Amino acid sequence: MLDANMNVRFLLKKSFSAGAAIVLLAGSGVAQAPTSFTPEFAMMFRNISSVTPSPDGTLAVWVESRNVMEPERSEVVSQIWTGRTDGSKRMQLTRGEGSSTSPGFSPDGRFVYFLSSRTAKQQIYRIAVSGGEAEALTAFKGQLGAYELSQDGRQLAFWGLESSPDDDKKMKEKRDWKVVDSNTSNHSLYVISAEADADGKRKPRKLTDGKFHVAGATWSPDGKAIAFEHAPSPGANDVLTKGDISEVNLESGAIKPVASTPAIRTGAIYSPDGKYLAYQKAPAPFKWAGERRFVLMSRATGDQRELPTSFDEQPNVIGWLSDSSGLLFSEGKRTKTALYKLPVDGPPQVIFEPRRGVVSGARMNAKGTWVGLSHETTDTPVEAYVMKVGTTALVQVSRANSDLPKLPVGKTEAITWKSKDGLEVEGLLTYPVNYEPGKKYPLILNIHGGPTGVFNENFVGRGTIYPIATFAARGYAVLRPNPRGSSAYGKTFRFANYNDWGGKDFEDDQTGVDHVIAMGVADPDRLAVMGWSYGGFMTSWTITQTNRFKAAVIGAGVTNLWSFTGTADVTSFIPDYFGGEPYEAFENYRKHSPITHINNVTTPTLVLHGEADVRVPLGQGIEYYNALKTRGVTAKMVTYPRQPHGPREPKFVLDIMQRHLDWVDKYVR
Amino acid sequence: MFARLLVAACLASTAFAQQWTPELQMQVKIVGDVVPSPDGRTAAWTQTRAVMETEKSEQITEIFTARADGSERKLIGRGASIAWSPDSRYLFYQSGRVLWRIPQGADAAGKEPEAVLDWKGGFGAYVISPNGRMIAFTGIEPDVETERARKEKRDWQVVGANPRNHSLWALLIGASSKPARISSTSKHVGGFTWSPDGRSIAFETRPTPEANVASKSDIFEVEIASKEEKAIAATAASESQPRYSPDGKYLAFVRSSVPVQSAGDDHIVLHPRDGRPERKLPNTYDRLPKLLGWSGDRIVFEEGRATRNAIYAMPVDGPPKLLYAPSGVLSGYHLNASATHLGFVRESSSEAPEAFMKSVESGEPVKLSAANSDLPNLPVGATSVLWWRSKDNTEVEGLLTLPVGFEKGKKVPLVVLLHGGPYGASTEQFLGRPGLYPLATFSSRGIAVFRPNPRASTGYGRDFRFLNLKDWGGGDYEDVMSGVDLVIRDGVADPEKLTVMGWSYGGYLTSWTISHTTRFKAAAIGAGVENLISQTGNSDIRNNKLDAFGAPWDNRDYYIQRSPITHVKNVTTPTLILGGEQDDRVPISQSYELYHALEARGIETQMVTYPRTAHGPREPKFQLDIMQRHLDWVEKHVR
Repeated sequence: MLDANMNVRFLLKKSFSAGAAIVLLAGSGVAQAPTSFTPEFAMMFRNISSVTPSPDGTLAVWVESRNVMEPERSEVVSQIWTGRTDGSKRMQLTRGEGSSTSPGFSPDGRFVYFLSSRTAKQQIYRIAVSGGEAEALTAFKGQLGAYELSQDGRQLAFWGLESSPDDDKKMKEKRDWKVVDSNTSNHSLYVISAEADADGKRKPRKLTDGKFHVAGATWSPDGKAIAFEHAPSPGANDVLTKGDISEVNLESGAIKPVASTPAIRTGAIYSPDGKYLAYQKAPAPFKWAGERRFVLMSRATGDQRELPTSFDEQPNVIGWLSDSSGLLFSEGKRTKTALYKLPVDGPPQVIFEPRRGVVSGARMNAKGTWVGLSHETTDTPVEAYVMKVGTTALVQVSRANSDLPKLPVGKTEAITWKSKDGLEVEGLLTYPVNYEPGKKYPLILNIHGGPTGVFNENFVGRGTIYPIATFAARGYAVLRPNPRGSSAYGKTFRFANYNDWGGKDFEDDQTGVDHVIAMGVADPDRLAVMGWSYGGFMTSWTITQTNRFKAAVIGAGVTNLWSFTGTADVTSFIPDYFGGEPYEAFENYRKHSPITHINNVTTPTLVLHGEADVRVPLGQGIEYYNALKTRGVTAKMVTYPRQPHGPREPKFVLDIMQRHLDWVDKYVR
Repeated sequence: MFARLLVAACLASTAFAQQWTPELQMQVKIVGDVVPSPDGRTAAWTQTRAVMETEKSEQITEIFTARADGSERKLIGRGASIAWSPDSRYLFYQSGRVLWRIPQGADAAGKEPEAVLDWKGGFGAYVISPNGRMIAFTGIEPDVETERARKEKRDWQVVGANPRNHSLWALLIGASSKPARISSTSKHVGGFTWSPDGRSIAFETRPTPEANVASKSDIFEVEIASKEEKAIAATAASESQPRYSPDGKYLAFVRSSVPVQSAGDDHIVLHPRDGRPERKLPNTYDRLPKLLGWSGDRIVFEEGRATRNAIYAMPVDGPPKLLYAPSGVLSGYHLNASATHLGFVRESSSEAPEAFMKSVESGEPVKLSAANSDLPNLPVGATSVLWWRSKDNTEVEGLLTLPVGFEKGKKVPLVVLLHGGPYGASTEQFLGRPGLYPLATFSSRGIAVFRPNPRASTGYGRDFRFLNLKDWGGGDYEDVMSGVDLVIRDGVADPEKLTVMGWSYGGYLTSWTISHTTRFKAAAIGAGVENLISQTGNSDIRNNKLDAFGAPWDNRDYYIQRSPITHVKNVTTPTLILGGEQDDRVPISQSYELYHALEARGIETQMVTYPRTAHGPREPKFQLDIMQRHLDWVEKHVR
């Protein structure tokens, strides 16, 4: 299928370092290129992440990730690229079959540190900025999670899980039963010297004892302390809701708590002058819809004070300004994102807001003078950009997707409408390619996950689960609403669907569909609905409440809140949203579970689910599918081996896109 | 003394064992199919032992033969699925994916086995034709496309698509020809049998191999030469177990009630092959007959009988008569091809399983095997059958095993063990068997074990079995509680030292129990059903909940009310939760639902999951761990 129908070629190319590298290129015969968007074409776009300017601002590094789908492979491979911050002299820095990620410059700008899985296990490497052979800094036996370079560049902290010979032995001897919640997989914090000792070794020093799970760490400017984030266990429920911050003194090894309450605390970072430690906290009790505030701790006095809240109360810290006068952060703002400055003594101020599209993954250089980020718009694929702090000019440094043909993707615009109770709701409407006003088109209602996700103005041609650009190319309109419960519209809006999944959020979606019909765009007799995760919940709910949709696709959907709560890795999630555990608030669970109302469903439904999903376990999809099947409703279920909550393997992503298209084509077109 | 030394040498790890332990129970061998040769002069059987050396954890099955008088016992080698050629000159067996035959009898000494078939795909079962020249077997060719998709990571699964249906195949033995398919691929073939003239095969067929459609079985017959199929019995009932009469005039089979119910209500039907109308034969006692075959003009069958089972013969004009009903439990039973001899495994509460054979008509069974004769002669507690009246006056039976050295008047801790099913029964099997529950070890360690057979158990007739159809957690629970009351009243059990445990439906009833009484000091739940709604949505046999309770969307309140998890806020009992990670019958998610609720409520609990393990744990190291955990959990809380 892949070979016969693809209008592009896979070129096999030998690389110098580690065996064969597979490079996916657009065929030289651009005449053969597709003339309209297809799922296969969408899979050719590369993703961009970790855009990082060098300390002196002359260079930048970033990661380009591409889908590799040659005969027996199906994976995303990432490589590190470098270029000048004026957009010139691009160069691929790492190669090989394994991925290289998380690049960071040495303070003198001569080396790039990174993580690579080029050998069996992920290790820390460094490579000269000019290229050459990479040097492995670690030979960690186990799972190395991430690293952080000290500001003088002389030490590295990393955190991970050393494999236990005992566990390996148990596995081999088939004594590998698992005692649930016996936390033997906590990550510990280690430090190594950047330079090898006389024997050519860098012996890791272990700083924590494994009694808690280390989830992140950051160096003090003088290199004498590390602030780190930790949780009782690596379980999602603990990491997401029970984070604490402690500081370890490198000299004495003493650990003192910085912040430890039941609420989550995340993202500690020292001010360049070493006077402050900034971090984010969530007010107690923890709420899953999320709210975070910056806290500034004076390292001299230990005094802590909260800074003013941001618009959405979900800021993502970028770093400190070089003069320690404040922090930069990014945050979702309706269907866009913006960068903000938060002075230590004042309210946040917008410093950059793209006219169109979104910026993401913003990182600062070590000096706090440049910012690197990814930028894309609904009709322009993602590329890496840099921006000098104090200016608002983005300079494009990557050309990851510029060789691909520019095929029409359909116009996407943000529209607003009034929901049933009068609340204003916004969403993205993508028109069919060659849209003709006055003509009615089939409409796809696509519902995002979360519920605290948001549809923003990223590129509609991306190779992800929902082939929005392909839908548009094939004559569909697509509505992607941000109903109450979504992020980027402020805390009140985000908290507005507590105890009410399937209530007013459902009305927000449906009034959006009504609005697009009223606009004259959508044909009311040709509607389809689809969504993943909470979007799958809402899809499975929607078809129990209305039969206006002619087709539905449920991806990893929650269909029974009761059994979900007993089986998901996020055990406290639904009890927070619905006012108690099932045995305390049973009626809420019963009433808001799609499976309770399964008698009403007539819509032909496709059910998709990853077999290794611990967030929304496979059983949720199976319960719903089996009920439809037993009741004689047209239904099909496809499961994906090895896949967690979000399908990862590119061949599966492609299959899912194609199935969405086929299901809708079959029942709606 | 000499014998004792030998035993010690054989049981290095438990030398001079003073009492039963889980480790020693793992050394008890399980004896399987006992198949007498057609001439009645010899028999073959299988023995299975646990191998747990360093990196191994598996059950190894070996084939043995002996003469009908028990002499000349001989190990053939590893393998299973044994059958004799009609002239008794060859023993057929499978080892790995190869079907072998090995010469037997006077002139067979030193002869090597030869391969009859090397089948690379899925394999069901084989049967040798009456003239011994062919075999028929069920199987499916290797799925090359699926294998390639797996390699290329395009291995998404469309649920229910491309069922791996087994077809019937025929092969001329010894010829270089390839097996020929003789049934269509559109349905799945289960059990089958050759007609006495070798021209036809009667077979069970159903839409797919899925457990959920097992009740949709019909019987067809295919003429081998023409491959023409015709329906013999294809009604809304489930029809299975076709057996030709020796003269070829009849086909006997078993038919269920309509609609099919998972509780089971089956009878034998006689189908005249000359076109005369078929005839229902008289009901059997438990209405769950398992047919062995014909002996003359009688149909020989096995059926449960309270805590034991028995072999019966049903004349074509009925009613059934007892043929063999020993004190103990039979398994691995076979009638030889000439219907002169029965082979079977026999065991009792205090006797380990061994292979026996006997003449169908008369005589005492002759012991063939010595599978467990090396075991140290350690005592197990005395087991007796109790009966009592439940709350609603229904008569209920159960097995009570006293501790070794029990002294009357001294109250002891009690383990209440609830069997699965619910259509199963606790029987008088050997207490020292390896498995999940270390019964002999409990009795060695001063703990009594009570195993009730509450309503719905098999072996007590159809009506008893249908009593809890829409009453899970109702009468069955009362049956158990009234039995426990009796054991306390009899002065055996210390009411302050009660524990309860069970697997599968036994896990359901255990969960139900601890959410309705606090009298138990500890509980252990294995692969238990906790939430009837999610269980019915997920299980590979969800249809049997639909037929017993009605659909969840029509009877939601029943499903909610009868789910143990609904009442979890009442639980105070410390609870051990065990389950297999590959369990399709009662998915591990059921266990997580209970575990997370108990955790959230702060009730003492521990959950252990077993990789690679389906509904019944099989790897010996896991069985040993499970036995040990049951023992430790009980001793921690009631000793």
